[in-house]
Amino acid sequence: MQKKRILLTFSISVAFLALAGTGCSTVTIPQYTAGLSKDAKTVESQGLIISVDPVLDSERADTYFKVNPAGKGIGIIYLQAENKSVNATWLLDEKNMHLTIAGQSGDMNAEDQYVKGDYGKAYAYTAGAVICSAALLGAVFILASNQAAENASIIQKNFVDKEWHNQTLAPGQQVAGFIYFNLGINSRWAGSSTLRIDCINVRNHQTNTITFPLTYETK
Amino acid sequence: MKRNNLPINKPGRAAMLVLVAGMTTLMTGCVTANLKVSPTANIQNVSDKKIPLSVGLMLDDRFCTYRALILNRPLIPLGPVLKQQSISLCEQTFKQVSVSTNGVVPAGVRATLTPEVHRCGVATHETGNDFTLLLQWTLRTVDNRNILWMTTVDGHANGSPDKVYQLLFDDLATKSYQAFQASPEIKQLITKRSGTTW
Repeated sequence: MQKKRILLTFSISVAFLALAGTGCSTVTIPQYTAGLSKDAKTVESQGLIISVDPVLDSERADTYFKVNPAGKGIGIIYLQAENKSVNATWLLDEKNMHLTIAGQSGDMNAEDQYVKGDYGKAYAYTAGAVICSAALLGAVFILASNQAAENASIIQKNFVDKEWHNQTLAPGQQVAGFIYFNLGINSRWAGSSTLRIDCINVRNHQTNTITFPLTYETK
Repeated sequence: MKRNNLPINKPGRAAMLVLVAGMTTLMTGCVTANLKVSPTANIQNVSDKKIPLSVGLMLDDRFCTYRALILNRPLIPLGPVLKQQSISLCEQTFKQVSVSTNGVVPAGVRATLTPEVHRCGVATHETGNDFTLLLQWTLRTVDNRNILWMTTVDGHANGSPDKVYQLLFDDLATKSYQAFQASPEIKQLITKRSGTTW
């Protein structure tokens, strides 16, 4: 009897902590308005100006993505481009944006980097609901699970909302957006990596390669 | 732990099953395979004057069978609707459209046009879904090799499952149409061919 009571008390505590842990509310994420940070690097080549700005500060990551990029194992880079040439149209395609990390073989392009949602918490709460000892507690777990799944899907969709749009950039046009790279958890990629962008002038099909060495101090 | 030690009764377990089933439905956004979308692309402010260009609309399997992910699983079959909407959109936009689903460029076209789903994000709510779909259009030379122009339009829609897909495709159709109309490279292609400006 004593065991049962302890189990019940424990379950109630866990269930309500689960509900509290989800924040009991729907997450809202603002549009990106911060522009380039002080860490941004800018290169101009053949009239094409590109700025690269890795999101390394937790404040920006939390405000605009609601994630801890290192903990999620993702590299987030803000990209701005402007075509100031008069006779070149530049193709800026994620397929042609490559990240090479020192000490790792090969590189990855930004095209294949689908950012998955973190539904682990939602699944855990569902499991909690299933194994829970009473229907009322199960309902609490279900509320927590629904909220966690909804928030995870909003966070996941936000990556798409802010993603770079592949396009050709005609003279006078400018564009901005984010590219993402799936990395290992707690990867110190920004300390010793290179972002290479192969920009193709679609008028003469020549490639203008712009390289950004990323050597930021990482914690 | 012995099963009979769990302080749960039969009605409680039944209630749990109902709740879990309900939650699963909610988490998947009440997905149904039957997407209610008009067969004709609804373009806002469509002009009577079509772009005087003959294009080969290149539709591949990946596009025609595309499924959007929910909970990281490919659940929403958007591909067939994307195919239908792309054909309808191009037929309303360009003077002549020849559709290819086998990778072979149709004869007599001036350029090829390829749609591709770049990314799709779905947020699930108790009342429905919130979509963002990035649709990429690539205009290539007649041999389908060199890129002449590329754009990505972002379709957004939010609502119950019976309305959200129509809203999404309406938004994509209108934005794609506007992008075709504004493309300097499409204008250049027409000028090059006919010697007149469009």
